[in-house]
This record gives sequence, structure tokens and C-alpha cells, in this order.
Amino acid sequence: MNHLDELESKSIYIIRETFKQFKNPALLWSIGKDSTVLLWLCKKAFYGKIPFPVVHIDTGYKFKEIYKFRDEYAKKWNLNLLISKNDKADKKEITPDKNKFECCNARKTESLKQTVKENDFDALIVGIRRDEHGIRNKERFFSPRDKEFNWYVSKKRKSTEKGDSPFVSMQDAEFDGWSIFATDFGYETNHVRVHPLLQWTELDIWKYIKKENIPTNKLYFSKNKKRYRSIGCETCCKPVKSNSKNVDEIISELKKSKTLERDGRDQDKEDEYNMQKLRSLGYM
Amino acid sequence: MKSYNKILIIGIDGMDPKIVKNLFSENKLPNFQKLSETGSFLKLNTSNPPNSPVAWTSIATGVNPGKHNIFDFIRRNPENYLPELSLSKNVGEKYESIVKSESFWKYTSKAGVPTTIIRWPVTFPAEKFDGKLLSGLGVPDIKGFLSGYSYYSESVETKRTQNNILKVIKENNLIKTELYGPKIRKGTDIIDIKERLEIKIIDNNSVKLKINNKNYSVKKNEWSDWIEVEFKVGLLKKVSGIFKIYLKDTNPFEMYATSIQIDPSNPILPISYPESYSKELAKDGLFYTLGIPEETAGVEDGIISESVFLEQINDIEEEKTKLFWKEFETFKKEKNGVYAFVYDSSDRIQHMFYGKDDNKEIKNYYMKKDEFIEQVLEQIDKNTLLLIVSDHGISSFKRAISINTWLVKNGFMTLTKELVENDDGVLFKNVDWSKTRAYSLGFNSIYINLKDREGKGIVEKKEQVVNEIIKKLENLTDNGKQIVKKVYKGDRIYSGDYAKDAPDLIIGFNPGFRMSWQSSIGGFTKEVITNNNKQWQGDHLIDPSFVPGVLFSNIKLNKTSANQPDILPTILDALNIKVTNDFDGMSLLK
Repeated sequence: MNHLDELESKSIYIIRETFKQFKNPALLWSIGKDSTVLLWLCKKAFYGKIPFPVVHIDTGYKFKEIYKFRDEYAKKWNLNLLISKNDKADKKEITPDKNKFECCNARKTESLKQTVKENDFDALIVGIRRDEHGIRNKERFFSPRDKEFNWYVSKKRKSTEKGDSPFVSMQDAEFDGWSIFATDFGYETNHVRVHPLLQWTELDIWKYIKKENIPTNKLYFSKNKKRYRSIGCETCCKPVKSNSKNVDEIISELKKSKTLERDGRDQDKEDEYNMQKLRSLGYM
Repeated sequence: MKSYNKILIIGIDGMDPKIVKNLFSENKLPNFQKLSETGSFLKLNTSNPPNSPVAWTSIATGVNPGKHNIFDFIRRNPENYLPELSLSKNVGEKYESIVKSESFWKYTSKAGVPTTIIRWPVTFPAEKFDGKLLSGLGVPDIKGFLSGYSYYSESVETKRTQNNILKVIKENNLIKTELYGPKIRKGTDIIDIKERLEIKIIDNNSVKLKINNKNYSVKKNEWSDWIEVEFKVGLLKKVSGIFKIYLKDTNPFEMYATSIQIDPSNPILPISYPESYSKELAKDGLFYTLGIPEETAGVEDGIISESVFLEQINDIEEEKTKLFWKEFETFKKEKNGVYAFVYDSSDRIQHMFYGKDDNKEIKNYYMKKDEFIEQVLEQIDKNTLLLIVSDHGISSFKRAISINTWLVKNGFMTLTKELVENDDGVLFKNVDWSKTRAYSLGFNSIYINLKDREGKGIVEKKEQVVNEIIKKLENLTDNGKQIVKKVYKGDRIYSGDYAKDAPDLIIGFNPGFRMSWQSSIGGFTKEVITNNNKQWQGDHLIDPSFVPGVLFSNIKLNKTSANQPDILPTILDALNIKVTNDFDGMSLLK
């Protein structure tokens, strides 16, 4: 098997394992390239028809091209699409121009929480990759969350029997070579995040898109010498300089690139830290 | 001329001569009044602009900003136009002072006079000299910020907001939450180090806090004692912090926590010189170390009441006065010495309560200081020169002016997108520098986008742009009122090696007007003029002629007014210390 076949095979195994081990899983689809590849893999895993809901967290600020793509392919691929939107954020006028941090929290995190609660999902299949961001490095394929959506390495047992460790591990390492994954993490688990694309790189994604001819949002391709390398809310994404007008050109651009994929994302921590520091002067 | 063995300098940040005179007429400051009759009471002309870092540094160094290098609270990096705080600068993990002139304590200690300096502004990080110093304004909290409370609440919806309001859940009268501590860099990320915090509800009026396996009992409706916390930031590295909490309610649970201060008994950063000095002071009890420890943001955000804020100020004042007397005992016993001590809660009270109830809270503060001065006067001898100084006065702040928006509307600056309400273009994100001739940053400053000086400079010769801005700004009005008294040219009012880094223009606002907060950090409001609806109704960042400070002394100074750079030559003169240096002030004893 070549590298891409190996990646595909492992991801499909994880997706099928999820369907088998959990009662009520769902797939998160942001309509970006990664989650679209993930959706493609889910289709492949179940021979064309995905047997669980596909959830789109709609912040209300996504690019119009994202909405168009979503509606077109949801129909074409016959998805059980569930759109989740936090109306409270609109009522309270929490907007990105006022406070990006609160906006993200209300429109993404809170919205997701509501959806998980309302639909009683016990597993969420998510398209994150280890190479995206430092903080995602320590993630594992199956990763438990508590009711506050926090991740803990270990938690105290409710009751212990003699000889038992007082702690239950919330994070088991998988026996990678044998494809044995822990999926049961104890009573404090609210749901489990499943990350079938964890070992993929940005370049793998684009090579796979080429190989499988997967439809991709046109925002990724160069227009006026700029393209989006990572897409999300229109208010918080910036294009990068690029002349890549098709998948082949993106692949050769990435092979030469030294910048980070999320460099165009506006949640630049350094800026945010400096802003917080200046604001803390208190001369409001 | 008589010389003195000892000099006692007491700083009272923001003490205003108008309010002092008003209280004199009501006979409410008997000791200051006595001092003004037997000694002196002068207006101390403030720096331009009249803000604390500039002013206190001018007092300490005897020179103008062109020599000491502090021009505003906020300065810019000319290469990328980004705003930075002027209080100190970060070099990697370390802090460095940007003050370029020597302060009086360097001269006096070098001359062999025992010198102790407590809480003088812009002295962080504490630098090496032959005396003892505890830093003031500029000392950060353990996150590296200048303020920042936390609020733990059962009744909020969001898990955690940007200003650290955290949702907590009570289960069997137990709350498990976290304290947010130092921020550390990991690759491109900045990560919060957290420590577990457990809160057990004992009854309706008290809780028990558990941090690092230590327990603290806390009662409702009062500020707690100091709570200590240790954060593990690395394999062997720990950061110690201290904070206080105010328990508002147990059901629903509502608890306020102050900024986590650097622990003076185990300081992670150089808040004193020698390093052991803060530890020595902390032996008699922990104390607030943050440069601006007063929780103004908590009041501004409606989370703590005015009275809770005032209780905190009382607490801070008590701690400081305890420190004052501790060091005064040593000063009193010695044959010679210099002892300087700065109080600055006065400034925060003035910002928050100016114009309210006939300035009742401000007056109360001045009256308490009068009682303190009485005790001081009783204990100093005729060989001690007493100087009581303030850096500036206070005025009102009713209308906020966005100079950056004004520059856009008047064709000096071009944006890449339309001006909108609540634009997030802070840090000049949406500025087209290739079409921008001037920009504003800080509370009074304008810089010309000069070629070969600014990163993307386009202006060849600044004089014409400078004159055009002055003419237009001095004619700017709000309902018929002139907004700006005078616009000063940096190269005219400053001189010295660092004058080249000065702003090109310094705006002297008329009373009632001040730079908008957004504009000061490179942001924009849709309109040039907006109402200031905040509790923060007092300010002094206006033309210096409106907000002089005060100078009291126990000796007759045959002057009608004095300038800030006069203080240092006066101190040296009084102690008969001769130095050859190019000071901008003159001894007031001559």
C-alpha cells in the first residue's frame, strides 16, 4: 500500500469502529477541506450512505461560498444535515467586531454544546490534524470530554474497591499497530471526540483530494493573487498571497511553503496577548 | 545656605491644587494648611503630556522627556507601528527599563547617603544601585498584565469570557474550578497555566477555599486575607502569587478575585533591589505588589460596587502606611538619609469619583492624608527637608476624541476598509500605510509617517504636514467648544539625545476632552467625538496648563511656582552633593 492508501485505510477503520462502539455518533462538517475529506471517507466507509447525522455549526458569519457549497453537496450526497445555530448570540448581539473571543465561544462552543445535549450524541467525529497547531499535537484518535467539554488525563473514581487505583485514566494510548483503541472512558465522560484524520498532513489532504477528485470550496483557489489556506468565518480569516489556481498548483506551493497553515487565521495569539496587555493599563 | 542631613519625599499621585485650596477654605486640611503657612505650598508645573510615567520620571531625573525617554503611557515601534507600553519593555523573558537618565537616588546613594525608595512609578524592573528600592507603577501581575480580575459565578452562561468571568457549577456544596496563572509560550502558542481551586460552601456566609492543598476560610461581604498560590510552569519551575477575594454570595455563588500579584516573599520578577528587600518587607505581612492594584475594572464592569472598591483602597492604604512607618523608623534613627515614598490610590479615586457628590470621596482621601501628615510633622526634626509632591492634578473627561478617526476624515490617513461602528482595527490593522501621512498613538501623541524613519514611511518633509494638522486640530470644535487648547511640536518642546524618538505632535486637549481609548492603541470609532459614559469620569491627559501638581515643603521656598525637573537639583543642593550634569531644572533653595 502506498502512503495515502494507508492513511485512508486507518481512517476508515476508525470511522467504522466509532459506528460500532457508540450508540449515537455524529460527524462535524465545517465545509473546509479537512472535514470534507473526512465526510468523503465516511461515505466510503459505509458505501455511499452515511448512517449518522452530519452537523454544521453555523456561526452566521461564514463565507457565502461556504453556505452555497454546503447546500449543494448536502443535497447531492443525500446527507442527514443538522444545522446548529446559537440564537442567543444574535439576541445578545455578540459579534466578532465587538469581541472575537466571546463571539467564538458563544457561536461555536456554546452552539456545539447545545447540539450535543439536544441530540444526546455520545461521539463526535472531527477533522482535526496534529500538524495544524501545536495544541493539537497531544490529541489522540479517541479523546473523551466531560460535561464542560474539558479534557482530563485522569479523574477520581466514584468509589474504589480495595487494591484499586483511586484514579481512572481518561486517556488511553491506542495500540496503534494492532488498531486497538480504548473507547470507554468512565462515567464522567459526556462524549468522545473521534479524530480519524489525526495523522494526516495538509499536503496529504491535498494529494488525497487530487487522487479522489473530491469537490473543494473555490475559496481555496487563487483570485487576485490571493487564496484562503484555511477557511472559517469571513470576519476572522485572511487570505494568503498565492497564485495557485488548482489542486496541482496548491500541492507544489505547499511543498515549497515555510509558513503555517493557520497564518491567515485572525486569532493570532500574539496580537491578542499584546492587546490584552495594553487594555490592562485600564485607562478606559 | 543651610544644608540638610535628611530628605523625606512623599508622593501623592494626582493631588490637585484646586481641590487642596477648596479644602483649605473649608478648614479641612489643617496640617497641610499649617505647612503652607510655616513652609511652602506651590504649584508644581507638570510635564507635557501630564501623565504619570512622564511626570514622575521628570521629577526623579531632573530632565525633560527628550533626555529621559518617556513620552507617553504608550509608545510605538517605528518599524511596524505597533503600540507598546512605555513602563518597561520585554526582551525575551526579561524586562528592561527604558528610562535613559539617572534618578536622584543614584546620586544620593553614590554620595554615601542611605537611600530608600518605595513605590516610585516607572522603577520596574528594579535596577542595581547603592540603596533599597521597591518598584511601583509598572510592576505587572503574574500574567504579565497591569491589571485583570477573575470572577467566579454560578449565574453566567458562558464558560469563560475574555476578561476572565468563569462559570462555576455547584455540586453537593462543592465547586471545582481553576485559577488562571502565568501565561507561557509554547511554540507559536501562548498558554495559560492553571491551578485547581476547590471551594466548599460552609454556610450562607462563609466558604472554604482549597489551593495547593492549603485551606483558607473566607467570609461573605468582606475582602479576604492574602491567599497564596503556586503555579507549576515547568519541570522544576514554580511561580508564586498572592491574591485576595471578595465573596459576594454563596447562593447563587458569586466571587471576585483580584489580579494575582507577584508574591513579595518569593518574587518571580525583580520588583525590588536588592532582590531580598521585598522579602524583608514581607516578613511583617504580605502586600499588594502590582503597579496599579486598585480594581477599577471590576467597578467599571459593574462586578464590584463602589463601596467594595473603596474598602479595597482602604486596605491598600493601610498596608502602605504600615510599610511607610516601618522604613521611617530606620530613617529616623540614622544621621543622614533620603527616603521617598509614593502613594497612588489618590489618582485612581480621582479617575473614578471626580465630579461625584461634590468630590466627596476625593476629599475624604485628602483629609486622611492630612492626618497622616500630622504624624509625619511630629516626627521630623529641623535637619530634615520635607517635600510633598504630586505629578499632576485632575480634571473631567466627558467626551472621547478619536484622533485616528479624525486623521482619516481629514485625509491624513487612509484605511483599507470603511469606518464602521466598533471597528476592531486596533493595532492599525486596517491602515493603508502607502497612503497615510500621519497616525496617532498613546493619549496625546501624533506621529508623521516619515520616510526612512517609519517602516512604511511616505512623507519626505514633515513640516508642511505638521503645520496642516496643527491648524486643523486647533480649530476642531464640539458644540461650539474648542476641543484642543494647543498642539505642540515635539522638536520644539523636547531636547536631548532621545528627542528624535519623541512624537511629532503632542495634543493639549481642553478640559472635558480626552483621547478615546480605541484611538490610543491604533483603533477607530465611526465618529470622531463620542460620549464618555464610563464611571471613569476624571482624567488629566489634557493640556498641562490645566492640571499642575502640588509641592509642599516644611521650609520657605521663595518661589511662586516650580517645575518638575527642579526637584532633583533641590535634593542634591540640600544634601550638598555636587554633580556636573545637564539638568533641566534648578535648585529651589537658591
